[in-house]
Amino acid sequence: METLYDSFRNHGLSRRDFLKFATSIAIYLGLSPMAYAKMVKELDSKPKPTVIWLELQDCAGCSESFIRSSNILPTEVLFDLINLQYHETLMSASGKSAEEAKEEAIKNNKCDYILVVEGSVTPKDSGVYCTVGGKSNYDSLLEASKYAGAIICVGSCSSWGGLPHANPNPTGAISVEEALPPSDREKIIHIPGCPPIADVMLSVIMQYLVEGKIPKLDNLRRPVAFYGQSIHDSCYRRAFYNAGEFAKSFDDDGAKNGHCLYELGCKGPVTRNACSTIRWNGGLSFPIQSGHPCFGCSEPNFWDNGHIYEPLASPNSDSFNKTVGAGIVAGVGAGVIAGAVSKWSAKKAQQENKNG
Amino acid sequence: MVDINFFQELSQISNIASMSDVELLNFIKGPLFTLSLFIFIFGLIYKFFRIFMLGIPTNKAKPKGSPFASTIKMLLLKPLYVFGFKDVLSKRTVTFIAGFLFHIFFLLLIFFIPWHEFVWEKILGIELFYFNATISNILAYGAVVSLVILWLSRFANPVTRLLSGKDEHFANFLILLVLISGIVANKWAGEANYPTVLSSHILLAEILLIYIPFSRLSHFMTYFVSVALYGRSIGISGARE
Repeated sequence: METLYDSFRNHGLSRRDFLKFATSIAIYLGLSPMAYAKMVKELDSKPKPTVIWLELQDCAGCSESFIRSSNILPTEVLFDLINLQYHETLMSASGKSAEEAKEEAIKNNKCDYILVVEGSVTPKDSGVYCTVGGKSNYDSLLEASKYAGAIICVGSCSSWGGLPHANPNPTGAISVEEALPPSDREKIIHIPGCPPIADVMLSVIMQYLVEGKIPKLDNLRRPVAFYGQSIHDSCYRRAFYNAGEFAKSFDDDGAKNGHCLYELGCKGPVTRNACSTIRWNGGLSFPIQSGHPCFGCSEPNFWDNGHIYEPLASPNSDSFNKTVGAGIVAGVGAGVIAGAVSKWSAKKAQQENKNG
Repeated sequence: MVDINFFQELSQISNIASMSDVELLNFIKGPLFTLSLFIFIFGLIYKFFRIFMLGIPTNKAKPKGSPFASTIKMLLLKPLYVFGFKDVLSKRTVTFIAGFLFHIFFLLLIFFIPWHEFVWEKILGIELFYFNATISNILAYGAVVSLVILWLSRFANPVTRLLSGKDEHFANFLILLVLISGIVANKWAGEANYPTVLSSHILLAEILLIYIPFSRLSHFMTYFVSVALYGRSIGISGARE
């Protein structure tokens, strides 16, 4: 049985490299110094986790992100840190032998393997919109999820339906949670994002391996360690928001001076993710640091949540003139009619008093 | 023409309990904002025309001066007249000063702070002038303090205590909530609850919009008409001139 530590040593990496890796994971997860010792011990002794990676209706962007984990090389992630048994894009096997590898992995690791799902599910019209090996992605998902120890939905497509689910949703795309029976939903961990940060995906897998249980999740089943804060809360431009200093275009003085991108449509205040803390490419940068507003890719239905460059607090309507016009017309009409009626009835009453 | 999309969006209200905080925010600043804006405009215009239809009584007295000049003078100077009555001002200094400041602070807050600028740009299509954060904060805290003082002074004075009804207290409470939720939305950090805080602020502002036409808060619209008619009236006759 090859442990992660063995794997590091077999590739000419030192114990120091291993400790650095374990430290990074512990820091990402926000663990205490005591938990860090446990992390090292468990990673040193536990077998590599078996992973089955299903790609449903996806663009493979989450896989691309995953293999660009910053602390370790892609090959190390794929071949050394996890026991990747099935991945349509990355595995060398194809056709029948690939499907057999998946079935074998499910059979040999019942309730012990991690199922990673990328992409949305398309059960509509008997699942005709996305099939692999003659099976609809819906059937493949049900088959692989039944005996999984944990189901990790990577990316916004598997977590919420994502881009395929966006209006008008021609393929009837749904999230993994919607597709699974209630009994299997308890095993789900959402790691949304388009794509999610590689280090976050890896850390969640490692945490599951070390603790043997689903990590602490929020109400949308996202790990609190990475999705417990909004991007706005920890954004380095936050001070400019509080000071009311906003960039109004991508090339004005505000933008050049690094002011808040709220007015350019930044959705950081409503987006839970670790982009502003862990950042991308080894902590190098993230979209806001590069001068572009966050468009909330890790939040449910972000494609349908209004225009990307529309300020968050501005009303979602393009027809104020119509609303105001309708209010004026209706108000004038109702006011004049009510006034005329009361005048008429007052006159009538006066007349009756005179007569009577 | 009936906007089908609007009614479809508004029908989402039946799912309000199951909405996520971001969905709720989108609902509040989407169809609910359109609805509250419509009710606000409809209510104010209705009220205005209802009053307009009552007509203006004819004053048969021979004008002692220019009614038009008197109207303009009153519109411009009426808010300052109180400072001419020193004995009234000395007895109600707090109410007058706090009232004056509250109205100015509240109006400036609505239109001229950085966090509202893009809302008005979206609605009016033009970019308004806005103050910096320091002045905006002074306006916000100043409005809260002056409103609280005004509210307390209602209780302190036996006459205003008797005159104040549920309408006044509810209006004060609602405006105070709008102000405080706005300050909290601006200062909030941590726990990722910004969508809920922002939703609360916008929702409270919408409730205020809906409430205004049906309450005495609509005085902001009738005030100028009333002052103008008053000015015209004393331009024709009146003991004070």
